[in-house]
Amino acid sequence: MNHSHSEPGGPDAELLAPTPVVELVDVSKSFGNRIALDSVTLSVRKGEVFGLLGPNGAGKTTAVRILLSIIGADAGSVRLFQQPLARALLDRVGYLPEERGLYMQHTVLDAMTYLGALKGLRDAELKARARVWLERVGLRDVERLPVSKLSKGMSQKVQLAATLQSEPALCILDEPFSGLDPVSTVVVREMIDSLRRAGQTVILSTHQMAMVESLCDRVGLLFQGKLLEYGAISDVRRRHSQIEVRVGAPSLPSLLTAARVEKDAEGTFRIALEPGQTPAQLLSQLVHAGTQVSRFEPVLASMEEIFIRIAGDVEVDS
Amino acid sequence: MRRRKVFVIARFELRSTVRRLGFMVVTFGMPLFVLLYGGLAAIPTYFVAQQVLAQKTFGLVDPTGVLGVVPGTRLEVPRGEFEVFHDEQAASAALAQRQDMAAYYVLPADYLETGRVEGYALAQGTFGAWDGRLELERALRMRLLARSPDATLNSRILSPIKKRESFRVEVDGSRIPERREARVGRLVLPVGFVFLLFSSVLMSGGYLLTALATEKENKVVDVLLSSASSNEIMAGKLVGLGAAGLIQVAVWVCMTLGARLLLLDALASFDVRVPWQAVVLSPVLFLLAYAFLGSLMLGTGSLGTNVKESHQLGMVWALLATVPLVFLPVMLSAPHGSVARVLTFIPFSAPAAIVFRISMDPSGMPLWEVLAAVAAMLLCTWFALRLSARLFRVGLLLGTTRPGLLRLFASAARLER
Repeated sequence: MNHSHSEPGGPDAELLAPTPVVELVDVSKSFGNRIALDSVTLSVRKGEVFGLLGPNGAGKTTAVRILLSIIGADAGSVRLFQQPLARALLDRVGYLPEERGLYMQHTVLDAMTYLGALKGLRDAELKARARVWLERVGLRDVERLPVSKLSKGMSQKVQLAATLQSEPALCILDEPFSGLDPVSTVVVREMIDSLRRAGQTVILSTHQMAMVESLCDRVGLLFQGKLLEYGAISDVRRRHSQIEVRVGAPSLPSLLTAARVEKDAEGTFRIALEPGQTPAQLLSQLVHAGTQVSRFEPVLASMEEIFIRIAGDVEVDS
Repeated sequence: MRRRKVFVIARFELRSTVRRLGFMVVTFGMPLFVLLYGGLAAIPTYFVAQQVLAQKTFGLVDPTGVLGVVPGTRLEVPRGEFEVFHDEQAASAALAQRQDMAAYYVLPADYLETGRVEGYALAQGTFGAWDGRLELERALRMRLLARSPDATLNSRILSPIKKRESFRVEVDGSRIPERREARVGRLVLPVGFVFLLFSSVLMSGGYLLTALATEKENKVVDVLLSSASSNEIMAGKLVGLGAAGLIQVAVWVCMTLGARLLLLDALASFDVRVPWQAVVLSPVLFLLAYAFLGSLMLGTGSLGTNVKESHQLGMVWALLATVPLVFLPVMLSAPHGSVARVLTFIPFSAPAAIVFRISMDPSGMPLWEVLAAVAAMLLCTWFALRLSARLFRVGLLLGTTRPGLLRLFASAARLER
């Protein structure tokens, strides 16, 4: 089920396709005997929010580290901003790692200005930029506080501000919502939305599938180093939604085996389609069998269901 | 390597270090501590010296008149006097009763033939019977020579070397007057060099390793690596903390020079002379040694999974900076001997050995040896920087567990630059 080369579209579509910001082509990486990435090919387009998904150990962090030149790939090629990956390009990339931390003994302002300077901000604008972004995350008054005095949530927001202060063309955010209270979650979510509106590209890695559905334009699902699902989020959901249909009816004909049918709390039936069977074929089958169908709709699988299903399949296979 | 990145990291490390309370305390407190320690050590030395200089009184009994001294008279010698008693009984009574008498001596009848002398001191006293030996010998010589008619000869026998004058003979045969403690004075630069290098490497290295391990523990490393290469991070840290170390050394040197000006008279006899070659080479060798040892410390220290482990791994190299001090006595006896020459080409000891040899005798070290040793040091520093940069990069990416040494080196060898 490898969809790494499955993007639809002919030559015309390619001409109209948005500019790729990140391109991984057949990228592989192993650590000893463990394969972390297995011939992964994907691209991230300018101005989109791309969800890089997968369970722990799937290879997301490895892919990000390769993209950031922290480690090198064993095989394949990486392009950034349509150029071969080079250190100089990384000043245009902001990175919020999953394992977060800041300089505990320094003040918030010192830590932010240091990270800003490292990203190439000029000395004259360092403090002003830091203050603007602290304001945006609602932490303007903490600039003189040592980082060690901040709560976990505040520290998270400071780090997000530090990542975004250089206004990078590409933002890689690894679990930006972890440890945040509901109010802060909304703030961060709106911030990511505003990045998209500003034309910045975001690679979002998170386990919160509701966020993926509401924020991401496209996703790539990694499992055990393989890219198992890739494409626009609506396409991915549609692809996985055709296997189940919700049917409202007093009873079902006996030709449907019990294993394929589940009755939900609302009293409707969820019927899993046979391999190769379309919803239209099932409807026709039901009508021919004389079933009084009051409701018939394909179930659009949630990203969470897709995630769990694919992860389960892979675990069973392995 | 991008200089701007190195500069930003160096500036941050420097600022972070010099703002630490510990750095301030050590920088400004160390000379005061050394002074205080020296002062405390000087107190017993002072009292011992006072005791040595104090005028002492001894008893002398010459029952057979070997020396021809008259009982009841006194024999004056430097730092002491001898009171002549009629008999041993009177001397013994005086020793027991008088506080000012340290001991008394009895010359037997066969003294001239045998040289045998009996010394008596109080059993409960702190003064030993022969603690006044030098004074007694002086008194005996004076009395024995009193029989000789040649006063000048007597004077020389009593004091064969009364005034010392030193000259330093150059290769061309020219002679330069030198104060008598000049040899000690020539050690000031090399010993100071090793002390400052060791202190600087130890202090800066300590900060270096703490900062690095904290960054790993605080999970800042990935953010750093997404902004700068491992080489840039390592170079920035070395430069920044090296600058902090140099500031520390500069403060210590200034404070020492200030103290020297205050104590100019006391130190004048040491005649501190430093050859210009040593002055020129010292800063160059200091920087090379710092880069060499600092990079090795950083490279191996980065493999630690916490602050303590990083210190244990990194500090081994700092101790190697003191190797030349272990060989100091050997180099002192033969500044250009085999040991000194071998040490000149070993990177851990080369900087101090070169400074030592040039300070002791600049003309004795051939130019080719200086150039070859500096070239070898440069080569070793370059190699250490490269090896450490690779270890550093592997170390930065290590998690909470550390693989075996072989795997580490294999990973370092595989790394792309």
